[in-house]
Amino acid sequence: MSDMMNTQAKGGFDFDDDDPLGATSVSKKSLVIFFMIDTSASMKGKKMGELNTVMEELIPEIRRVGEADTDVKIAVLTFSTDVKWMYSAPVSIEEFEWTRLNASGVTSMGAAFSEISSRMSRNGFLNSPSLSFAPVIFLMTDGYPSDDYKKGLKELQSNSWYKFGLKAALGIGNEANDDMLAEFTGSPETVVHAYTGGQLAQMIKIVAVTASQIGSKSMTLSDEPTKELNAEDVFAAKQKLLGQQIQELVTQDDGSDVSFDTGW
Amino acid sequence: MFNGFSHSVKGASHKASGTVCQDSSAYLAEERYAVAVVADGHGSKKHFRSNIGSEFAVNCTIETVKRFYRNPEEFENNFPKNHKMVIRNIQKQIISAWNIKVAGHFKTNPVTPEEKSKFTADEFAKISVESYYGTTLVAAVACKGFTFGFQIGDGSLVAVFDDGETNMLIDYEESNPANITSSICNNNAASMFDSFYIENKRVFALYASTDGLYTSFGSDNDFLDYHTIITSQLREAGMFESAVIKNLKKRSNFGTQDDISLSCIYDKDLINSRMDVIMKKIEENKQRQIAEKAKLIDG
Repeated sequence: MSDMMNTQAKGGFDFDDDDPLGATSVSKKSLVIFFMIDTSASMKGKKMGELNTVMEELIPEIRRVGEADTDVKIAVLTFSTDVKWMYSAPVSIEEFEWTRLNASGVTSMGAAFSEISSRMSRNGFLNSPSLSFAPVIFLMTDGYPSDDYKKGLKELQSNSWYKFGLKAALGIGNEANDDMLAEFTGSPETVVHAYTGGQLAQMIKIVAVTASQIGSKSMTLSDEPTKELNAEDVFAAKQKLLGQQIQELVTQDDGSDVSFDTGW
Repeated sequence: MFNGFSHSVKGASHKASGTVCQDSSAYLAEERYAVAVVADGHGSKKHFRSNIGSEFAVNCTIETVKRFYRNPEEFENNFPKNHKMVIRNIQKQIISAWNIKVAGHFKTNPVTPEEKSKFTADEFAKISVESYYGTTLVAAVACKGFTFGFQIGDGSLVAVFDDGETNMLIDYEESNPANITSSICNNNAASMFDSFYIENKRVFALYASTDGLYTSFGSDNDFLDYHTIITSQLREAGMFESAVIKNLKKRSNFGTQDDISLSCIYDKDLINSRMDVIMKKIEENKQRQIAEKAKLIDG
């Protein structure tokens, strides 16, 4: 018979190269950023060209956010007449490569809300054991949905991951409806608007990087000296912080650029 | 003949903050049965004695199963016929024993001014004594002809069967980010246990682990493969234990920085006689990993 009560292992780190368990990789805490991108015909031309360019530039910036202790994964859902994922599963930022998007068709945003809701589950895109943070969901569109977006949004709003995720939206050009986008994010503070190519690049970077930073930040009871935060408090605090930081950064924009809606 | 090992390693985040390891782990390997058990003390502000609570939980589990197994023939004869009821009774007796230990500890160790200083009087008045010691509990029991286990709160139970299949025995819950972890300190703890029972299926090894281990993996398959690899090394378990400890430290340090506990019980004779099955499974797992990676890259 052997009956052993364990005591905590002592001593410093001294890893051998011949660790027989070395074949199983160690995962850092992970965060999934969902980009929902309107690729309808109205995005054609300068808007889509600028968006493709800024997304290519953005990847290294997000990579730096995750370098410390978080593995950031990217999932890109495009919606026009149909909805389509860029990759069949979230891809680690270290391996992610942007595939340039083309624009055509109508704006099936409601279908996109339904699709993202169906994937935001432990049986879907959020199946990694290492998933430690609620997702970031970033919507970009230049127009009004052509389908019943309220039906899709209602479905999405009942998803627990959506409820506790960080939501942000970017309206592009004059036709985008900020009120509708605020319905998606839950507050006007997390909706920004870009009227020019320069603003588009800036807004995407501000929102994506800020959301990644806040999304991967552990907010625990240590942030609040007088009471213990519960999970709802933590996620509400994060969404509020995102709105505040986005608004602070957005007001620093000088706006000296040519409008998307000029000369189209 | 059963064998076993168990280890708890202190999380990197606890090292950084100067707090103690909240996990506890233990095993019991007898001739006719074996128990693997881990517990993860909640560690947050109001659970300020959860390291003690987790140690009580693993001790109570070992003691309770021993007591039920006092008459082995009778237990082994009756258990399969009434397994649901007996498992529930075991759970209830563990909770009862844990509460007695907590009450005894609290009586001889009243709350110190330092422990109290972190709360206002109103806040402190709302916290039950049991909450000071709050913890999860994950346990697996291997017997001749059947295995069973149960858990309350986060954590994992994994079996490596003698056909090479490796499975999680209790499904990981669809993780709601707002989930409140179930605890042995809850008033209705007896109703919060999940359990499993398997008969007529032999296991090479059974593992219980706290959630710090699971969350250091990128996929469920990686997590399961890890247990298959450990099982392949159990022939030389004595020599292998130091490698397991190092790996657990590495997983905490470079993974989620949480405390990690792993407890294992295994049938060494069975493993030795069927090593070819385990090695074949490990090779299949490698091929599956390569195929999954290729599929992801191809989109």
